[in-house]
Amino acid sequence: MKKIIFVLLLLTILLVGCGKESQELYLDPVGKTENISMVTHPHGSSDIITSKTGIYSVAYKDEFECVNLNYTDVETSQSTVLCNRIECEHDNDSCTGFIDAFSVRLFMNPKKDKLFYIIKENVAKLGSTIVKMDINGENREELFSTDDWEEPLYVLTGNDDYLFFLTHQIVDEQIMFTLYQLNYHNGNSSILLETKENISLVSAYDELLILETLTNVPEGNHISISSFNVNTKEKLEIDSYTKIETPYEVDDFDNQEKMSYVSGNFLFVFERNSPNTAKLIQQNLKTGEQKLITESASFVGAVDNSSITGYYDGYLTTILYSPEDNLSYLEIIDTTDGKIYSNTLSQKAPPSVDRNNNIVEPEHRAVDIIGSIKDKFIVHAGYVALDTLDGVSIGSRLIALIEKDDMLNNIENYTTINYS
Amino acid sequence: MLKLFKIEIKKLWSIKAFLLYLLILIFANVFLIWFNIDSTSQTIPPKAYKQISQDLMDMQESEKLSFIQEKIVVLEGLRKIELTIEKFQINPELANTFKNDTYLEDFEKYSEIYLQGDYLEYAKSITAEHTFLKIIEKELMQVSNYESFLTDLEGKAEQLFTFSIFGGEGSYDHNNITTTQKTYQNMSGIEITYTPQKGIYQAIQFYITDIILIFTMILLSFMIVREEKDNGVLTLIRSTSAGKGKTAITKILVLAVSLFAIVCLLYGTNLLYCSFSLGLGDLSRSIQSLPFLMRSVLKINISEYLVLFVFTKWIAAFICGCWILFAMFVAKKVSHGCFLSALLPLIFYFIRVLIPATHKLNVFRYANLISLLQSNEILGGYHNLYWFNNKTIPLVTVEFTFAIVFALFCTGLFYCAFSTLSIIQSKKAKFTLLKTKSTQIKHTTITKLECKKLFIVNGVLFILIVAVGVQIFQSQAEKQELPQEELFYAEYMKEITGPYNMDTYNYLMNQQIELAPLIESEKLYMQQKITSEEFHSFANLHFVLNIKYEQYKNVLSNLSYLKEYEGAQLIYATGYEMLFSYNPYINQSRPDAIYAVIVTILSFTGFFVMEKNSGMRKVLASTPLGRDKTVKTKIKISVIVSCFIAVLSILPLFVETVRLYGLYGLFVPAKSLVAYKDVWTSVPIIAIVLLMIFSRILACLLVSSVTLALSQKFKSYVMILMVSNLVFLFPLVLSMLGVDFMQWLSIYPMFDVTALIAQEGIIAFSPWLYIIGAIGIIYVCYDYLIDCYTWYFERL
Repeated sequence: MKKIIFVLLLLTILLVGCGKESQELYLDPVGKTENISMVTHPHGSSDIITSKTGIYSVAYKDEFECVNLNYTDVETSQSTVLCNRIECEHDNDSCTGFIDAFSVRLFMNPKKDKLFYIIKENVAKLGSTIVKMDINGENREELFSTDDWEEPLYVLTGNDDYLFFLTHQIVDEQIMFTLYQLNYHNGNSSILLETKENISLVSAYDELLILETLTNVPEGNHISISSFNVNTKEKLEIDSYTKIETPYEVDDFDNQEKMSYVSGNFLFVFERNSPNTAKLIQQNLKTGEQKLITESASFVGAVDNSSITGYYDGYLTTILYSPEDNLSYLEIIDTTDGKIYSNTLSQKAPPSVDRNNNIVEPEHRAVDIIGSIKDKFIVHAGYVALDTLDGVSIGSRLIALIEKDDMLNNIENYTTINYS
Repeated sequence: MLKLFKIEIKKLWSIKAFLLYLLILIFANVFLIWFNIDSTSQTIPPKAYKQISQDLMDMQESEKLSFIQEKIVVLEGLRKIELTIEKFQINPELANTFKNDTYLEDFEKYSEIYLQGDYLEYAKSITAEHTFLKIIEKELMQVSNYESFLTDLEGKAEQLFTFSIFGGEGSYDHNNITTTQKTYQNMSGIEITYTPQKGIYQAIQFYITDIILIFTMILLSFMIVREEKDNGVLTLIRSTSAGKGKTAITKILVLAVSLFAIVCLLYGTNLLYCSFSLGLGDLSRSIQSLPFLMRSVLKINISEYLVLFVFTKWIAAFICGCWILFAMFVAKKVSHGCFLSALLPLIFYFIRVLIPATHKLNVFRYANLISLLQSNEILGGYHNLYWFNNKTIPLVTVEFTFAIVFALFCTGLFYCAFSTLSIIQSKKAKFTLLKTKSTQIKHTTITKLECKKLFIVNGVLFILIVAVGVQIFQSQAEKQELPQEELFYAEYMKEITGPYNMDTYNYLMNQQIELAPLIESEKLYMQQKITSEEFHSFANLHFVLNIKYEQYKNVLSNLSYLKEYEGAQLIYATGYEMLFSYNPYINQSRPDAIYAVIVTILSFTGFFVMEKNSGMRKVLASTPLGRDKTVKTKIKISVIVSCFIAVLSILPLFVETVRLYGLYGLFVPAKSLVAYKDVWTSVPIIAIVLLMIFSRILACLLVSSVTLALSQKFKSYVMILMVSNLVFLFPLVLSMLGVDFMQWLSIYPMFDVTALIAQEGIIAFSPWLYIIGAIGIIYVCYDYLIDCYTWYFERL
């Protein structure tokens, strides 16, 4: 009897041991860590990510309580739930395209042979989990879970072995930021940096992570851009400036107003040179070489009315908002020749009902580029209105593919992605 | 052999206790299925399913769909009218726009029907009826499009082949798509006749029946081997010529036949009840007519499926039963047998949880006892699993291969154990925790002897160690950290706990220095000197300070309570809220009560009956200290152990509360806590803490005294366990499952005393009635026990 119980207990321990390796283990020594690049958009991972051949997207279902992972092939524009079972209903854990979570953010490794997602299972469960899977949805594996009160910042960088990402949580009345290095082959993780400075991860190249540090100063926010070497853990400042928070006035534009964006080893800086324009400078962070791209990039109104939205295959995009016309539009700058394309394509949101039950007419917004794949841009082209029994319209995002030339020349030639 | 089988089966099915327990379990099953259907019927009543089945009975499939859709269109129109009327109360202008513009057509068409008011046929509101009809429409569309579903599969397969991510020819994905495509090619031509699936679904997908089935397996194992082993009959049987191998086979056969009867009984009652309340529809229609079985690749009708379902369930139950039979036979004690019985299913359960269905090793997830119990997963769908070299293997093949192999393994195990192992008698056991070092007689006391009987012989020491382990594990598993908001609030409140006086005032004023920027900005905002955006932007810049300021305001809001309730003082109440569980969202009393009841019953079941069965009672009764003194010692020990269990039940909560919040102001008047605002000023908080502990101790004493009385009354362990569980555990479990009134028939109010006295009205006094009642019952039980021992020979 004792022997049987002993054998069964041993078996249980072995099986439990096989389940998941501890995240407290040290990293495997693999020599110098290099070739790091962004694996998410600098504004954070989203519910859409591009692979070598197509687009993975998240479709929410059952009142946003769970999701399906969709895949769209760019060549054929065909979409499917990420599941190889033709008879599947995609509504339970036996489906590779089903995730039982209410928040899912996608990203891929630089090689694009593994798909990852960060989930928050439900409102009650604190903390988030990073999960890895094959590109066909199989072999899901939980890699990393944050502490209960620890939130990931959703901007990730990585190379062929590791992911690097920041999390934040309140410790001793202050926000503590932690930079993690996670081996995504075995789930081992280590902490590279812990700081109470308000930092964010904005880019990466070679063995360097580019960090942006924000400090409150009387005039507004002081922004410092620095590099962090993951091997030596050295931090070096690259650039710094103060972002004025007070509303911009025309006769007061002598203020040094700048906005910047880092992509890979390129730092793009807009420096205002007139009330409505700025010069755009590209700085190679590796060589220190500076290049003036254009002197007539648009830069309107207050600082918050202009924002850089992304850098896709040599095109830098800014969204410019005009409060007078309640209109926003997209400007695309070709960084190779400095050519500026003012994009006039617009999307329309569905009507909504405000707190006082009044119907609010939607504002016209610019068609926003959210990614690029091959010779196409992925754009947020509008909304699909879904009527409910109670007469309230719910807007579901309309994601589409558009040829780069069509986008630059304002030709509304979309191929809609079956997103939801 | 046949004769032996007849004797064994007759022996089992003529045991009154067995039939009684079986009846109780079947009754529990029916009760729970009734409760499950009833609890979900608030929006859609069960009769709606029967009624719509009748309405759809003589229609063609296409007519059924248009019938439902027409009703939905009318309901949507009516809902829009209803919505407009509701909106009129809030925003008449918008309501008029709806009436005259947006919903004009609906008003013209349906306002007359709306005014007549007799438009609801199935549910009690438009929304509920709409939801119900939408469910029916969805089901109907699903099954009535079965042929197009099959055609779509062809297209879907062709489409998936074009996606490079699903690999090329030879890959698992490709093989899976091809195999599935081929399998479904044979499925066309099946006749579909729709009636709602709810009745069948509820009857065969009711997981509680599986849990009850496991209980019946344990019961059968008790009756087939354990009882005979404990009373020595098995030793006698095994000494006969056919007593080993043949008896083992017979016992396995008895288990198989009995389990088959029980599976039929349990699922038969489910089907009968569902047929009565929800309707099952025509059982000769194809299983593809039921949406949840539509993807099955079996070409059979529903009645044939039900037979197959029962057969599969029986195989799973038989395998599990064989294992339990083996465990109960080899175990030295009943508790060890229960532990061993549960171990294998638990291992399988963990395997199923650890290996995701999408994993390459998913064959191990499904070659599994727990998966085998999911009959609808096996028969009602289609799933190919990974096999070596990117090949696929159907789920059904895996499950049935596993079933055969494991059935052989478990029956073989029992057969070998029964035929070869000698029965270990307790007195011959080598495994004892306290080994006597010499054979010389040593001086001992009654207390020492009774402690040894309880803790070592009855295995209570082991039970208590496990119980302590469970509590330690639970407190570790539930370890939480406080949010920053709570830390700030605690910092303020801990400083000012006590009466509100000048010191408190000065402390609060001093805190404003640190918070000055935010107080100032709020003042400017209130005076409309800054906009809300500027105010919030400023607050965001001082993120942490703003959290602190919000908590400071919460502290100040407590002062108004002090004015309203004279005698109340300032107190940091969050910890007490957790400890006293008067917040229903964090109330842990039910699990605590279940834990305490299980541990107490397991501890005291054998305390009296062991002497009774072994004949030691007579020997004891004839000794000078064997009557009055012995029983009083037993009672004393049981009181101490019960107190320990009661304290143990509260310990994790107590430790966690102290760790997280600390218990500040124990001697502050209890009315300082909002929940106890009506309590006398002279009652301090510590009195509530003591009442809580006292009430739990009393509850455990009640369970232990009744269990001891039962242990004195009955000869059978099983009987004592069953009756005490029925009295104490069953009402608790039911109340936890949502049958609220059952809590009043359980000892739960004694575990929830602090929450109940915080309520208003007559409920606040209810715990006192339970306490008085418990004292009375405990007294009667102890008196009965003392009486039985003191007048043992006189009673004989």
